[in-house]
Amino acid sequence: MSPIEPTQNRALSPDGAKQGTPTEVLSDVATEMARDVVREGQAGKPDVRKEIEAGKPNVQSGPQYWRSVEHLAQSPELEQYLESEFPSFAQAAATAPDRRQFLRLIGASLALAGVTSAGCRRWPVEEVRPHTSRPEGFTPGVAEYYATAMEMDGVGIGLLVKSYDGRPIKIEGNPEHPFSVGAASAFAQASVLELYDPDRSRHLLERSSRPVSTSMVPNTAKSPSLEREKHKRTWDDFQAFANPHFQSLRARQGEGLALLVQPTSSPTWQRLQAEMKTALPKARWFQFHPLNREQEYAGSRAAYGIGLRPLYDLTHAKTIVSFDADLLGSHPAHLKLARDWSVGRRTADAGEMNRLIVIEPHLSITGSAADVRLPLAPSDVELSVVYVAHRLGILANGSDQIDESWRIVLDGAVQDLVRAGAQGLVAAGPAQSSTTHQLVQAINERLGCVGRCVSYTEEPLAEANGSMAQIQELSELLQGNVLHTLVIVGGNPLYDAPADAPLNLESTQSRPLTSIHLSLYDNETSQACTWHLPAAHFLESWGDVRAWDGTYSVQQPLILPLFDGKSPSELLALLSSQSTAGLGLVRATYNQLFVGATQRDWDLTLHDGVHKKSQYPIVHPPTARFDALYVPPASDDPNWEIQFIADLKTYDGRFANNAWLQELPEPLTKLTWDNAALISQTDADRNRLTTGDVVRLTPRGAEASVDVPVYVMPGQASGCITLPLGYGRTQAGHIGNAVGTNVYPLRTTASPYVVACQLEKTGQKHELVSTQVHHLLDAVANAALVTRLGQRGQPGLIVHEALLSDYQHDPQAVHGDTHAVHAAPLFNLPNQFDKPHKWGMSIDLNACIGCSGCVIACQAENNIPVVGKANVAVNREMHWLRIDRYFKGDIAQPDVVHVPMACAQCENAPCEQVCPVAATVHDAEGLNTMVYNRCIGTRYCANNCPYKVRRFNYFDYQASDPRTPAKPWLGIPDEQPTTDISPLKKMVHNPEVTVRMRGVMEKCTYCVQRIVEARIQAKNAHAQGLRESELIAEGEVKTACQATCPTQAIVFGDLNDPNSAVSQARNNARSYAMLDGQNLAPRTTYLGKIRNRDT
Amino acid sequence: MTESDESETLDNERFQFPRWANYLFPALLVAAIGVLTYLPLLGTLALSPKTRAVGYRPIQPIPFSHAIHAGKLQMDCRYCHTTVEQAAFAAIPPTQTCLNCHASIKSESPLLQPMRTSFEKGTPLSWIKVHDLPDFVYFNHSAHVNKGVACVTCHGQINEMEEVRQDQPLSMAWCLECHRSPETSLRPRDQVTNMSWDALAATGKSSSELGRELSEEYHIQSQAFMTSCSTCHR
Repeated sequence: MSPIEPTQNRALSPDGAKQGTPTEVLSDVATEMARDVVREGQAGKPDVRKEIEAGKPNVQSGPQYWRSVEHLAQSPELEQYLESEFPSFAQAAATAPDRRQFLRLIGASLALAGVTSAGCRRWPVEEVRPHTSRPEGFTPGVAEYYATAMEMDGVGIGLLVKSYDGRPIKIEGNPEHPFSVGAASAFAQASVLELYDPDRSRHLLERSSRPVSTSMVPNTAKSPSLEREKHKRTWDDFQAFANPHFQSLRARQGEGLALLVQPTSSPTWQRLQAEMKTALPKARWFQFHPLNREQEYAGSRAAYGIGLRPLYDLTHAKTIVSFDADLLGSHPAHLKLARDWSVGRRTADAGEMNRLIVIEPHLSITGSAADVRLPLAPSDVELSVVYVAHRLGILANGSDQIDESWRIVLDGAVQDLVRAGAQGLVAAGPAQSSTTHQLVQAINERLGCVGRCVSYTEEPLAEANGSMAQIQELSELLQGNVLHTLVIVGGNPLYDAPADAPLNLESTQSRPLTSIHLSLYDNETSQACTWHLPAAHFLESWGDVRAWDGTYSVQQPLILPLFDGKSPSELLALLSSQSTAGLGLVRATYNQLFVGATQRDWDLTLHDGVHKKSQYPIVHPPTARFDALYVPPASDDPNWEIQFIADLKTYDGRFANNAWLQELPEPLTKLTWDNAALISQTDADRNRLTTGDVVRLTPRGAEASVDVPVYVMPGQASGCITLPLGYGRTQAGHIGNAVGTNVYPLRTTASPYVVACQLEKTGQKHELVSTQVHHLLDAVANAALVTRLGQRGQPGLIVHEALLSDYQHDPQAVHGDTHAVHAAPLFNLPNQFDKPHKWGMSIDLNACIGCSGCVIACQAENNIPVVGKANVAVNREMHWLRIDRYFKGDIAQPDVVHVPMACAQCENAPCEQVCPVAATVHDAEGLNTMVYNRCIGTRYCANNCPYKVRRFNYFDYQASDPRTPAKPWLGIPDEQPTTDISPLKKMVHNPEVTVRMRGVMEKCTYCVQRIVEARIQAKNAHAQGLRESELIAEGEVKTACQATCPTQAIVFGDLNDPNSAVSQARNNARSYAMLDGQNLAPRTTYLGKIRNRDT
Repeated sequence: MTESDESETLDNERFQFPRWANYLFPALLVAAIGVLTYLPLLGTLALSPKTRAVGYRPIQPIPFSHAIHAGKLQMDCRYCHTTVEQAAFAAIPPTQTCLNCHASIKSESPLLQPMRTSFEKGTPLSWIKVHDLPDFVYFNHSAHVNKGVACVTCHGQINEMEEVRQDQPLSMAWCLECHRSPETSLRPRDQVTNMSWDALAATGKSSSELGRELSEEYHIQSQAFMTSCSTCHR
């Protein structure tokens, strides 16, 4: 009774019916697409044109904005999908039990209902357990906020964590922190779920050193753990082993000891490491991180002699040219960069705006926000840097391999840069070669922006050898008989090390090896080691980090370690036989670092989350060195260029077991629970591939190959396949095991980011689940869709946008002629819903970059369940806030618009008018409230919702397991509160929000719990004579999505107050109501998008 | 049976009630009695104080007597329930609070042994929740107490209870009675913990007259606001 037939890949596979002979199928849709591309005359490579025969369809028709390839092509499947009243029903019906089975179960459940309803009281007895002595200043049931920090890739991110009765439940950015500016990434916010993950390792484990038969190649699907005995141990047991072991090591000055560590900025770690290096001078230290930025360090080392870290200041940048640098998406300082970039976007209303030009292989978050974007394969990106450098007079020779269509874009970029001068900025991404970085530094110097738009500090993570060289050296050492003790602190090298640097952790008689791994999970690496030690989560342990600019933050624990874990610094202290009290270690470092700091300074540092003025000193580099006669090597490689990227959901694989992130639609592809090889439409057509076809990728000259499904991605560079890392884990845990494909085996130490590959079709299909066509704003099927999205060349009702030049000329240009549809209502709405407040929201499409931080914020704040891949496939994801990603124009180089959609709280709400039981009604302040207990699940409201923002609990998703599809009729009667949810999972719930049951509708509430809290606080303070007004003041209530938005695109507040930010936004010329003309009077309005380019 | 036979029988029976009609009246009678007993029974059971848990009085780990502490000793509610003016919960006091007095008074009492054990071992006492609202209701003590709604209004004469029992139904209809006309249960803020306050005796005004004045003074929200779903549910 599996609910999903894998062949019913309706949403994604336009030729689903023809899947039997995939090699023969040239998708009609795809051909049509290719023709579009050709007609528009902007296709990547000229030889494509010859392949497309004559007889082209009319490309002038079709939607102005489109969500997917199928949508653009108006495929019959999508049309049928839109026509169906409940798109999810047909597939679900196929999997529902037959009548006989249904009756049997109903009978059984009725009988059971009789049994369970016997009881004296209708609800379970609850206990109240007070403290034995309450901590001073603590009020039970009142949330507290603590500043702390997390570290990713050796860069600290300041956080503000909400703790409810001692449980951290919500993570937001620390507004005091210069590099989180109040925002938090999806990763940081979802890490609270990681804290309560039941799969986290709970014990120390010692595995017998019995030789294992399988070879210890990393990434092997076959786990060696199956063949080894494991024993639960305690820290005392470990110390009993470690003390004499490391004592003897000290006697030998650490000979035979190696430590493999993660790059970290922690001063405490560095202090302990330095001490250990002195005590054990012969120990070898290796630092490895799969997503390193070492080509960047190498570039600045070549240019300036030292590894430098660029601090970009985008507030002052007028022209930003990014060469494959995802500044707003996956850059370590992306929150700050996005905030600064949005400052330069807001000035659009004053007639000026920055211009973002992005040249990149795959559509990144930055690329989707770009004004001008040119998709180029990685090697071509390098050529274009050379071309720009040549045009700016830095290089003597340009590149003769520049295509004419690129030249137009690049010449434009050069022109803009020259015009912007010191307000221009060029950046390159981690995948680019060191030469490219060297050139980029020279370009910035030539522009004169060093010291203005970019300044440098010394790169603290730069080591003489790169990560890849170090892991290779360690791999070689492990082949021999040199090492007998290996300590791996964090990371998961057996999963993410490159294919040519396998770590042989096998312990044999001839080479006894004790390997120790500290990790949150008993993962792939742990299972190959002798000892696995549970690590403490960053919310459980003391630590210290330094931000991108060096600002010092203390990582303070919010809760005692749930599973008796230790932090990396504590482990190091333990191995050096020091006291392992985390606080003591951090405090000792603090006193060393800030000589003369008082207790008050420390308290302030803890309270604010930052130590003021602790940045790294700014370095003023000398003139960059470069070879002015550099000529890029001519490349005529017939192979595919494969580019590896950090996944926006699992990162390098560390978040693979995080269900929130797995279910989050990837910001660009909208894929959930999978990764895929992203391929351009042109390439897909040439190779007769459609989304879901599994291909085999074999790197040139290698034996390893990986089978991975392709996903046709608009805006992908031709000739390049992009592979997100971080999937295909085998020992991630229940959520993350066997999700997606592990592509690490394709990486090599020589070329970690780009490899040349051969592609071969396997003829297999894999179901990829993307939400890109879910909840298309469509009421009356396809006919209405065209009016709503707009015909080509006309504006629609959903997205309003204009070019900056047009907008400067006429502010109404954003709305095109759509305001013509204004239909005056026949009568005024009987109720204004404005006492005492009138809540409203405004979302600036010109600032939204689609990062999806708000989606996770909403999920964490509002106890939104995870439904699993099978349910997402049938349209049943529960996110209250989704981000619709629309493409516009040419499929090879589309424009992108991100439209965050949540309940717009219409004053004249269509949902309320059709509810037979008044389960959705307005409150006095304009919230369209949802009364869960009245809801009988007719789903009329969802059907009548023009914005498609209502979500229905088809199953008891809180209790069901996302990896095993829910069974429709089992589990009656409901025992959810007492049995099904593990207590650990419940800990992450926000107690201020009702946990919804099966059979109820739910939707965005404007975070009503936050409004109520602010209101009661204001009124109490007023009643106690502590404040003037009992009204909620501007800024006292922030919705979860608003609070976390790095670009402050979401504004929420009181429309009664003419000075509130939201009232101001309403008065902006760009402001519009989506689907205007239906007399909905939505409280959420949008600000139109402005593009800064000439045509 | 031939066709003619059949039509003959039909002719005969045309003006007669069928045989089963003999049982119709008694059957209807039984049904009517059944319905007439079932409906009141259902109503009584569904609405009975027992179903609504009025009078619910669980056995607590320590037989703490509010009659002694709040009644005889006249201790203010807020001596123990300290958070009632600031927080949603009127917190159960920590064991430390008990020991403020019981370190010297009745320090050997066997009934207080669980309290002493709790403090020595640092393990909390497990009190049984008496006033237990459903989890989708977000009642906030501070919002009520700061607007002049007295403890006694919802909790009854706690000062006379040996062991705390539920005094009021705490149903939604009961809540709404007050939310629709709050003036009926308002009193000056400084009298909310007074267990025997009387409007007429204290102010010379009838409780409804005073209620209207206080409603004005304390900015009690409109009825539309007070009966909005989002006021109590989230």
